[in-house]
Amino acid sequence: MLHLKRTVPLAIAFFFVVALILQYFVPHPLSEKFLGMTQKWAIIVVYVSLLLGVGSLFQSHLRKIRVQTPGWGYSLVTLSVFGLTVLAGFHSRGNSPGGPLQWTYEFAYSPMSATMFSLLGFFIASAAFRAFRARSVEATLLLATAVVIMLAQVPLGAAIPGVGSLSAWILGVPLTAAKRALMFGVALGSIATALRIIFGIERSYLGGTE
Amino acid sequence: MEPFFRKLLAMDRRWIFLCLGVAVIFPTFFKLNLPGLKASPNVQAVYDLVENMPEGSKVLVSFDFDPASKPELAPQATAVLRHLFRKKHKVVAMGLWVTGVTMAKDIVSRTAAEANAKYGEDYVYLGWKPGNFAVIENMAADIHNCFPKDNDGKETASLPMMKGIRKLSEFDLVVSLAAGSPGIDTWIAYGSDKYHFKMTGGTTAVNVASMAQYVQAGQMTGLIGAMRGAAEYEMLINQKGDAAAGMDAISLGHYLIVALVVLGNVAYFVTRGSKGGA
Repeated sequence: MLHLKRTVPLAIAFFFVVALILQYFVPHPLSEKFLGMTQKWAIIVVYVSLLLGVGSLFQSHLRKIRVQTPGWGYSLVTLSVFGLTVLAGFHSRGNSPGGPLQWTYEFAYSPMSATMFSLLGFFIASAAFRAFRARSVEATLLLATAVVIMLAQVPLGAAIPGVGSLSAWILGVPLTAAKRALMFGVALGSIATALRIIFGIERSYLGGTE
Repeated sequence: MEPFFRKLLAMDRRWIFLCLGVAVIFPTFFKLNLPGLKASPNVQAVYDLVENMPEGSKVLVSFDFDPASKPELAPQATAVLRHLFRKKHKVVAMGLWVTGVTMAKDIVSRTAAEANAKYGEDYVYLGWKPGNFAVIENMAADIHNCFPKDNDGKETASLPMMKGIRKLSEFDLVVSLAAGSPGIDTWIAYGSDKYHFKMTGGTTAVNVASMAQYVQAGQMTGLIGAMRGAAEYEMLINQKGDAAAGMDAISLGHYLIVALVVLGNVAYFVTRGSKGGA
């Protein structure tokens, strides 16, 4: 059983990762066919993972409702709304205009989603007032940068001499440099993780304590 | 002054919420039309790209956002689509975010109706497919295979416009309007860098800094940033929309936050060192 649980998945991962890396450099029809086939598989795997996600959602919330953990009512609401949305989807046969699914999307999901995001603005305003203090040189630099960038985001602020060009410089030079450094770090980290998966050192994706 | 500033620092945050609410709602009812809006080089670059393509160019527009980012990205999408339809380009729309499918369809249908564009001949809406970057890879190989049917269930191959489009590389331009990932970076990494098509796009204010590096590196042409970028694009196409209307609210909100930061620091320095001060 250990052989099936560990060695076979590791061999499959090794084969496909190496094959797909090699495929990138081999412009042969056979290699293109192989790529096309694996791409279709990838989409099928995503569909299956969606089903797994739904199963996991139900398992987790049903357990909370059964044990009546604090806040179990929210789980009940989550599952009920999930069920209603699925029913609306079936009734609308996917997405018929004016059907219950579109109604749910337009008048429930869309405004609630926008409201949740908009609330951030209020918390940012409050946090800016309370936390943005020129307590040290670093904090003062951060504060000055934030004020310049915010002013440059609106037409009248950008019209103040120097604000537009200073903001463009901050965004284009130090910020981009820092972002690129971060991206290089993430990319190198991803390559390291990929190598660990290829050689079977990283096994957490197999689940359990591996 | 000190007692006043001490009181100010201890102010209930709900007063700040109220002030911000008023600052955002007031211009919605009473138009201020604050001046000073100019097209930034990045927005001008996107406009020039669409403007200078020959009539009938094939353009893919990917809606990679959900309703949370609608206030910033829907005006961008509307302005870009109006421009595309006005220039009689052939538009294929789709999305990589499942939660944006209905919203995208609404924007595409509305702008197409304004321009009297015909479905299947001037524009097509493919909808969404799961798979993130795998969708892009699949589209690069064969769009008809990746999307055998459009969003309404019609055979993609039966749509007259799609007969001439089979692969991603056949598009003259790909526009990704993205609130995060999958989005512009995904289209660049798995699409344009590999299959060599022209890329442009738009994103939210918080993502502008992350995406601007792709413009600097020449991996995409121009970038529309946030609601301000949408307002600039509306100005360039000479058709004001939601972004131009929303700029007053955005401006007042920004001024208020800057004022609060300045006021908070003045209060901090005045009360610093005193008993009960900051």
